[in-house]
Amino acid sequence: MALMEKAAGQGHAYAMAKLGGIHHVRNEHEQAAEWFTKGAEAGLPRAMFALGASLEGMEGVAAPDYPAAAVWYRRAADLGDGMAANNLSSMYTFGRGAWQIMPAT
Amino acid sequence: MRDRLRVGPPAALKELQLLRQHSGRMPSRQERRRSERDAAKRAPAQAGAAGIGGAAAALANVHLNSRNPGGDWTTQAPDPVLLFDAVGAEVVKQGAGAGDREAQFSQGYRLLCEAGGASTLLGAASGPKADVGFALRTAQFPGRSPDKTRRRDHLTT
Repeated sequence: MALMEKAAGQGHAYAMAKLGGIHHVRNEHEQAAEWFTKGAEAGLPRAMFALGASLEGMEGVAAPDYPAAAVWYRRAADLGDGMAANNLSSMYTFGRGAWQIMPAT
Repeated sequence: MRDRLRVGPPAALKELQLLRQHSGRMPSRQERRRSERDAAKRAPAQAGAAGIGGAAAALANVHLNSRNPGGDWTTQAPDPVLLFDAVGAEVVKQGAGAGDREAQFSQGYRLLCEAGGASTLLGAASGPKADVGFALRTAQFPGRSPDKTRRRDHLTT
């Protein structure tokens, strides 16, 4: 874990996402969200998707933040992440937060 | 941001996309394997010239340039196992000791797997595409159930 954290500390975005995934598997959701946030801010679409899923309240996270989740899904989808696009479409379908980022028509 | 996207796909994938564009057909299994082999061959050559970061860049089919001199996520190998295949375990270990982030990522992941066993890392945290542990939610769309899909196909044909 120390080596992975060193790599993440040097800006390795995949290491950040991987660390988030590891913490997530271990049910350490706060630390997972922290690493996903770092990865997302480094521009990695998969980390953006994971952060969106965390914010949406999946997998045991207590308080969902739908608008923020939709924003991160949208950013990841814009970068080509299909899973984020899928979950974003689900949010549109069920009206959960996605209205905040719908384009003006 | 568009520049980042342009260099995103791994080498093998990019070649296959070009093949598909030019020939208008899906690449065969042999063509896919040949592209993967070519990408793996390029990586060690770049490792010698530009270090392990160069090998990772070769695997991601990107080049460090003035836009991203230190490299960003588009220049990093998404799968920690790739680097072991490309340059070998000993080089990765040495690189990790020398502070190379790509090597630290790969070596760190390997140590985690060895320490925690498969149960710790398999599934949600393993593999380049499944590293986040969240599933898709297709089941929320009732129209996608096999029965309804079949019925709809019947009506349209």
